[in-house]
Amino acid sequence: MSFHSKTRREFLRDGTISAGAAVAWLSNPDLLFPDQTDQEELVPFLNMPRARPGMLDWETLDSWLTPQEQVFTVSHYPVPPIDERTHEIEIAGLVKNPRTLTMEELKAQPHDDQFMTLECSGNGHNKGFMAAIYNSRWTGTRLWPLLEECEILPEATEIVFFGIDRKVETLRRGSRLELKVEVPFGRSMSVADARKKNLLLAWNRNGEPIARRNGAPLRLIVPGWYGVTNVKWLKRIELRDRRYMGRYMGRDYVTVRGERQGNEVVFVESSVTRMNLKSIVARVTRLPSQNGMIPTKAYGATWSDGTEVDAVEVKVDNGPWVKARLDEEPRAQFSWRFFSIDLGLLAPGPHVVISRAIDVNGKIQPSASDDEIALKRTYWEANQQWPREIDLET
Amino acid sequence: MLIHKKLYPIQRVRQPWYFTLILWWILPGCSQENQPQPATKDSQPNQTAVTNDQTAKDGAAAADETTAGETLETGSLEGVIYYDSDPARQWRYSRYYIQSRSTGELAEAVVALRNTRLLQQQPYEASEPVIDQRDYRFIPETLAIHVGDRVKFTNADTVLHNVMTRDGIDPFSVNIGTDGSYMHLFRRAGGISRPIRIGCIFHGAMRSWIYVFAHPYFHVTQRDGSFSFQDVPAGEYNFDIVHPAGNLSTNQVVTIRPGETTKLDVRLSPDDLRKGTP
Repeated sequence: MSFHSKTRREFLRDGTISAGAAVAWLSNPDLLFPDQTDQEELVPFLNMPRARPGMLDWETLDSWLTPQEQVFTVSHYPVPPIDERTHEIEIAGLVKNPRTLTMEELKAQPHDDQFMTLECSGNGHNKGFMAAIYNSRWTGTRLWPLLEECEILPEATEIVFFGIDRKVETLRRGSRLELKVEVPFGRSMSVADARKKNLLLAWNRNGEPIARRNGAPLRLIVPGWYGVTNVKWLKRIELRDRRYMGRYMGRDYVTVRGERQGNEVVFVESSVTRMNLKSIVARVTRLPSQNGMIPTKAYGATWSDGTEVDAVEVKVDNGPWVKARLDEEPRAQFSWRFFSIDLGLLAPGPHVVISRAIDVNGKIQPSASDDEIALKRTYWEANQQWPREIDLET
Repeated sequence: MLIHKKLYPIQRVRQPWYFTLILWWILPGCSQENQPQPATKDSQPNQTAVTNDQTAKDGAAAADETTAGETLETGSLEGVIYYDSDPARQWRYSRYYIQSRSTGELAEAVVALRNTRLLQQQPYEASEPVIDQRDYRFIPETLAIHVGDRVKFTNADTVLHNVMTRDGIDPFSVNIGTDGSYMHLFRRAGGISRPIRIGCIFHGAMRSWIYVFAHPYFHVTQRDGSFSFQDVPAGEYNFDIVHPAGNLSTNQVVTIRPGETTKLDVRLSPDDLRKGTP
């Protein structure tokens, strides 16, 4: 299969694109959305930083599968050199048959693909961090069959994923009880969560070996969960009967959010896990003005934890919410979906364009002033609606 | 050795944990090999031993043999820098630097002359330019200054920023709160080949380049792509063009004739990529 055989435009023209053919969108950027025509000009967003290599460039988003040069990386611990030829993955702890597999043995297991949009949980917190998201086709072997072979013991409730990266952590810093201890990077989930059939131990992204900075030789892929869950440089999978409380489960990547209980606001701390419903206007385009008014369109993307997005609505200034057109293809449960909308004729001058997603359960992506965001005291899970400012010239 | 780190100590900043991110795209590579270099065949000089104008020394091998005599006669040089797009090799971020794809005037390119003659003291007016941090950007993104100039870094955002570099003889890292500022003296000219790469440790996508010259014949192009050098001592020079954000670099020889204005338009293209893609 070639990933470079057709441009998206060719697929559109042929009308042949399907979820299976989505991989063909990987390359050949013509810097245009599916509905966009050559005549449309980009309307730059105001008061935003410039896009950079190494992050998604929303305004030229053209690939459903994100090219490597726009893939972000966030890491917390230093990564030692890893030799794939000697790298092994251990499945240990409360299992009847602990197992260690070389990469060669792992790759001899049945292969599977998993489409998934991976978003940093801090993405969207501020205008300086709006592009830590990418969509991929991950290739690897499913986790659950391996765990079944190892026979998880009944008392196991927690599964912990450790990377090869390590660092000395300081607990209770500055107190008499200060403790320094070197630990591997780890994230965990319940055995019930791991039992879902779609978790993957991946070695390829978009048909190529995963980049080292993105977790090579092996990365855990958990569809629908925020980026930090997808442990890079995976080394050990451990079944335990106690809650794992490593730094990135129990102390950081902890969302603190106020919840209204009667007349009281109670703050609750919860570990960052599943992704929240979200959408964003990726770009606005225009045509030459007509009688002083400007034909304008907007394009964007929506994603969630896998819950189907029922609609995306777009609003200009204080106008009504208007339903956008969601692309039917390409489409996969845990991947973003593109949308487009004709905003009609807008007057010259400044405007604000904003989108919101609504899922099949009726949940609506919150605005910055809704409790879900306004009472959130931490950085992560920033899924608020994001207003885009533009200035249309005649 | 004229290195005065004790006079300009690094101001170390303790980062909040969540900024201890390895963002692979921050100041790419943090190594010289990723940086634009003059397109000459010069060997790279020993940086630590150099306290004079690196630019001029770089240019010595290419131009000193042909330098004009010790005339005080001067001429002018002016022109426009263009970028010719190639649909097969798209520059994704060109929208920030090229106003018109059809004509291609290139903004934010650094242009400079290079010649051993420029090692001699040239008159210049000291300046105190400002790099503001606004909308999570350094504005301007690319700056050219004369050695001895001070740059004032400010913060117009409502968040805490930082300005840092590991380059040059006075590396620094300073936090700047809203409406705060920090002034830094640039004491050594790295010329076209050794810009000071500036970043913010809190926001890895923020970056800026400062080119420091020991002569006044440098310029950062504006939206019209134009440049103009007046009162240039007559002679033969290397004319360097670097676009750090676009990873573009080229140079050519130009002759300044007494009393004449030399016109020089230069067209860059993806062929001028230093390494990889912009």
